[in-house]
Amino acid sequence: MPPSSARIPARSERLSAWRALPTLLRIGFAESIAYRGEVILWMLTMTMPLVSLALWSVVAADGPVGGYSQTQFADYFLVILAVRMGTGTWVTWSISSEVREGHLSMRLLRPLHPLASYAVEMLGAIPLRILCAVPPAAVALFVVASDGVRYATPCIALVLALIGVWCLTFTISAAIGALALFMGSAIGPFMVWQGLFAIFSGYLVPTKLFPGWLSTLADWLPFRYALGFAAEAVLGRLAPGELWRGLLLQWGYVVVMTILTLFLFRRGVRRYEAYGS
Amino acid sequence: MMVDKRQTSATDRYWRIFVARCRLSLTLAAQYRWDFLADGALSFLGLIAGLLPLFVAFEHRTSVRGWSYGEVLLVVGFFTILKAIFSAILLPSLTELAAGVRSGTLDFLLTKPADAQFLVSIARFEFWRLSSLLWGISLCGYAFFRIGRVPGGVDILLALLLLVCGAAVLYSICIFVASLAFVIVKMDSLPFIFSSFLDFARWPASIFRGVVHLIFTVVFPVAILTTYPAEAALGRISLSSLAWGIAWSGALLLLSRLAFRVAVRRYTSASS
Repeated sequence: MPPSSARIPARSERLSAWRALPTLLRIGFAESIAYRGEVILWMLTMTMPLVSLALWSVVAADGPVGGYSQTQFADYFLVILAVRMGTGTWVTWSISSEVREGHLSMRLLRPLHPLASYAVEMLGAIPLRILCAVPPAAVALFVVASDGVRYATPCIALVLALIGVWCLTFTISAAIGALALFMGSAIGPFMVWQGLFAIFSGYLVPTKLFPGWLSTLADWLPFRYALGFAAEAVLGRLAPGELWRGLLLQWGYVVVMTILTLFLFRRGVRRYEAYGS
Repeated sequence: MMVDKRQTSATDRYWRIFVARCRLSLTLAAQYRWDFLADGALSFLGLIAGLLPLFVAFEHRTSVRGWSYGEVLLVVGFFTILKAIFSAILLPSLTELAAGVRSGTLDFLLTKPADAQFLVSIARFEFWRLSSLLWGISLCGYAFFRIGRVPGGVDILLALLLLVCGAAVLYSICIFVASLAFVIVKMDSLPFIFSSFLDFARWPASIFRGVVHLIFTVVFPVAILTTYPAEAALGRISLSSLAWGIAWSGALLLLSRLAFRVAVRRYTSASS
């Protein structure tokens, strides 16, 4: 292996660097506040769940469809919106543009794994994201509020599911971003991911409404655990068995994706030529 | 006769500018010829994702507000066609303008001896995005196959006429958004917000009721974009819809022209 100036720091260096985390978290928060207009406007572009809701509320006007009444559809899509707003991330764009413009070199010089620094930056944006998620969640809770809760989801499971959604979304997005190290740009793979995500995550249709085999497929693929699964848990639509099995699968995917992302970074950084600077 | 001669030379000049712009964009597109294929494949995935709610909904119902499966597919087909035109011809220029307002490069364009709105409108084309036109036309064909009949000649002509009206509405709204970009300087994401609201044109407008329906026929007339052409192709458009579609799209063209002129007059450059 040829010596390379751009490398991922050794473990001993990394451990002492964890002290920088609170500061990095503050920087991430400050950045999200500085770009608050942009962040809020990007949230406004999430119209597709509402477009889908317009169709479903007409379809369910003369009776429930697949266990969803008209108000339950409204609840579902509002919760989907809230969860997506709270847990989405733009890490793919960050990595892709930093690779292209060469800013990634700066990150590689720091004694902290680049993935960790991205994660902390994205975490810093969460307060603002949650603030954006409040309106749809409040409408779901106080205006629409169907009484369709079948199973009371334990608090701990709910928290685990929501954190799981963030972790899975982040690791998958980072893995796609890392593809920019190999391909120069991660936009293509990102579009593919977005298309599949729209189909299998429950973003446009609750996956339980799919015909049998497709619904089973959605249960096994990772997409649902990056969104719809948590929304269904919030709405109390998962029986205890389903819930715990789903959590296990979700966190299993988080572990797998973390390993894959670390691997992609390790291989990718070796190829990285630090264009630009 | 003098006036007449000058006018023809003016159209000639604008035509030459237009052709030059197109050639520039085509050269650019030739660089991205693989993107044509990639974009086509990706837009197919997007099309399937967008159709997903329909697939599932019509598993449970045979018609939605009087629209059968094939008829709604026709609306989605027209939507795909207009979205392709939008993202290939209108959106690139609009994003260029938003960026130009922010960075101040727009000033160069405004000093050129040609109509500002014309120059802004043809700033950039991304022809490879027209690949999804293919999906839209195929979808319309498949929709008629599902409905089980061939549209009449007059119906097709009317549908095309209304499609042009729809494109005019889309263009007018773009010009309104562009005028807004002059006033609110830092508005890079405005075009994207607009294009995401376009998605409401995906279904027949009769899905919406009350105030929302009124908004979607007058203020943000997505009904003219897709529902009217589909109704015309099906041979069941009402005379009032036809008249409204033509009159309102024409009026919007004029209104947006006015708004743009006011915006340019009030524009004070961002850079200096």
